[in-house]
Amino acid sequence: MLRFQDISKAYQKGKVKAVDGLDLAVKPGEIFGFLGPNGAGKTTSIKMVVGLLRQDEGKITVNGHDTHSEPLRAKESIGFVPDNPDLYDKLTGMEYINFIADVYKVSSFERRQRLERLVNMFEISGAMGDLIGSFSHGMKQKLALTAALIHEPPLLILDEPMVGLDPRSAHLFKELMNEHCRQGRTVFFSTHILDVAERLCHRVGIIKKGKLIACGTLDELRHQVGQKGSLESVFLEVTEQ
Amino acid sequence: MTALISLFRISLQSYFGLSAMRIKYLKKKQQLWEPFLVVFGVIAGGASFGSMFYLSALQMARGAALLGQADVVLTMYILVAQMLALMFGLFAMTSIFYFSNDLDILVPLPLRAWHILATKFSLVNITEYAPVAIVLVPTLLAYHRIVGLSPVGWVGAFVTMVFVPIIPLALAGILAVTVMRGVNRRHRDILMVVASLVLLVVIFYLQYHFIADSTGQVEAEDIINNRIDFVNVVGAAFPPAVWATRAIAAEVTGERLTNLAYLFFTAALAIGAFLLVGQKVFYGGLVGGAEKVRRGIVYTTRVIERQAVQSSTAKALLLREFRLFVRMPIWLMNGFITVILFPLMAFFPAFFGATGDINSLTALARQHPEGLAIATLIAAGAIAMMTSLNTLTSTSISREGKHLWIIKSLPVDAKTQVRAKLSFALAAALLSSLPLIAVYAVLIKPGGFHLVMAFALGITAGLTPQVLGLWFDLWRPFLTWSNPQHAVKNNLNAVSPLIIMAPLGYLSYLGYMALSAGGTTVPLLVLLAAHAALALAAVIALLAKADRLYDRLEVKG
Ligand SMILES: Nc1ncnc2c1ncn2[C@@H]1O[C@H](COP(=O)(O)OP(=O)(O)OP(=O)(O)O)[C@@H](O)[C@H]1O
Ligand SMILES: [Mg+2]
Repeated sequence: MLRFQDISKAYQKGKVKAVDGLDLAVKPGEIFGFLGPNGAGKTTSIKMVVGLLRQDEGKITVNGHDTHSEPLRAKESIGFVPDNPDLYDKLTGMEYINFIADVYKVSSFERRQRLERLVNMFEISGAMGDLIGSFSHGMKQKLALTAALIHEPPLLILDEPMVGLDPRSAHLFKELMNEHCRQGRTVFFSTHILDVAERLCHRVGIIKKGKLIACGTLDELRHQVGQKGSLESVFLEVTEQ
Repeated sequence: MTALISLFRISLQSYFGLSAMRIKYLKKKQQLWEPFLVVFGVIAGGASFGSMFYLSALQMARGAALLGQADVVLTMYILVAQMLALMFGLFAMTSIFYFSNDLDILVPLPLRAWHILATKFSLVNITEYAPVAIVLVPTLLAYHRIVGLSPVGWVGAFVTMVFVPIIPLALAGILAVTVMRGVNRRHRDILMVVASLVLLVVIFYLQYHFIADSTGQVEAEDIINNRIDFVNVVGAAFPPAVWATRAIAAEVTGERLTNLAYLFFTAALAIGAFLLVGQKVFYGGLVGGAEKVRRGIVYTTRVIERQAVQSSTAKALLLREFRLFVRMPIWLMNGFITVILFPLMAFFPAFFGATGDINSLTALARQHPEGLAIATLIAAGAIAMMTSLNTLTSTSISREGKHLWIIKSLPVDAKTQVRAKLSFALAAALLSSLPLIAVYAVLIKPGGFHLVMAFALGITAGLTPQVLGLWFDLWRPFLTWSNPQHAVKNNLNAVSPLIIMAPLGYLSYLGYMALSAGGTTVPLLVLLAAHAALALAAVIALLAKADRLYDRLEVKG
């Protein structure tokens, strides 16, 4: 569903190597957790997938489409929520959703059904008519997720989705991710919350200094480091070296 | 007092982005060519607005001088400057009080309410000197040419200019603060647009009535015997304009000083009133937590049913452009209202027949066989210049700022997005050309062919700079602003269409001259065809490059 092939990316004219030969494949229908210390290159990798950055080397395919040669096809397959969802302050929630849905060519019928469900689930039905500028951080994240799900994308990409969410909303987010994958679709998300990753993800990848240093199911990772503990202890062990 | 001074200094720096500029140009000495381009842009922009005022003021002064009443030109244009200050002030005051993000930082600081109010007032007042100068410097030059202004007169004129915007601005401030207080946040933007248009109409109407009424009672004999003072008649609606006129043009020094004193005390009084109202209404409301009024519509099945309706990608993109632009007052004002207001204001007196012998212009235009064609060229040039002055395309990508990620991650190709941006700009250009066409129609009465010609030529000539402006902004956008004002004001790209328009206009003039042997109609048509071809080529070229340009834009954040 999502494949990085030998991806590298450097900032500041090659001075800062953010991603270094990343090779990773995410299978359809799985929830994949993307872990790594601060500055490891998670956000950079995600931005290359969704078309915000160009890779220096390598090839990324989304749903079989090369992000470079078929960017529109690739983008159509993605729903994306960035780490800090800066949405248009001067649009209302409803105007924003309509805009996104129009661009992804979601029919009136479908958008009504999906919107009603999501809006009620997130309890933002009273805020949809307000300017996004008056939303709280969590409300913006919920709106961004609603927008990302409005076209039911085969691949959902979330960059640190749990930051700043209250426990109830965090729970909802997890539920939605589960549901997304139950319908045969894929979730790829970065996080620092290892409990969540442990319980939610089918597989995780750990990246450090732009290189993938571990990848697999929790059992496979345990096996790799020869340890029986939680994901946290595996993470600490792997990133220590 | 030190608190006030340091607040003022820091606000000045952040409002105009001075620190960033100093570091970039003085310390790091990066891209020193930028300031030169900006200066050029400012001069070109100021000159194109200013020349309209000069022309109009000179015409009026000639007429009035015949009656020995040339001073009325000053009164008239001081009024115009003050009207502009009122209109711009309304936008700027609302922006700085209700749409700026620094209040969250300022209010918790141990500052007095009036410190904040006075600082913000001063900042806006400083920016008002630009439109005031654009109106009054050409007026003074025209006045000087007809009447002559002594060195002392010039000094007096510049001192007077300092006071010109203060009183209207204080009024705008009081109006903005009280009206906005009672209005739902969601409706503020639209209210402001409506309010300023209504205000404009009201001012026009009042002024028209004042002049029509008072001139109706004036006997020809009184005028000839100098028993009627036009300065008082025209300024009756707003006495500070009369005082300002006398402060510049009175023959006795004592009278000048007295009038200056009137101005000074009225200005002080106005500021005091603003501070008082501001403390009560604005600051009280702010600290009382009256913000964040909610619309309170609950998105039930029924509401969603009604509002969640699919439309085409093109329409959605266009609507997005429109909403984001008009809902940011500072963009709307800088990019659009200005180019509508200035032409209207420049020829404001002409609409009421107050420019003495207006027909002399018409006569002039018709005397020479080429006169009308030249007038059409000038009108087209003015339209193209105004189009180049609106910053719609040239800051289009910059204005996306931290939201660029949204359009970059959409499954919409760059061509479609560029097309939406260009369509929006074209629609705005069509709209902003209307006042100029109206001015041309009223002043010269050139007839259908020339009106259509001026319109078509102006729009097509203005298109190429707009397209190239978007190209430039795609190539090196300014995305890292935090204050929306900086996206258009502290952005070099904003002047790029103007820099292209200036030589293009000159070339067109040369082209016309070269062709002028072939009558008047043919050269105009050839020019139109040439500009249309050029604009078309520019659009095609940009669309062809759009994907590459979009691809180059990285969202690093
Ligand atoms: N705009 C930029 N310019 C220069 N270097 C950058 C830029 N953005 C990121 N980097 C660098 O690239 C590397 C990877 O950053 P990235 O944001 O991808 O990390 P991350 O894994 O998302 O970290 P975090 O967990 O803190 O979000 C870091 O060394 C960072 O300093
Ligand atoms: Mg990150």
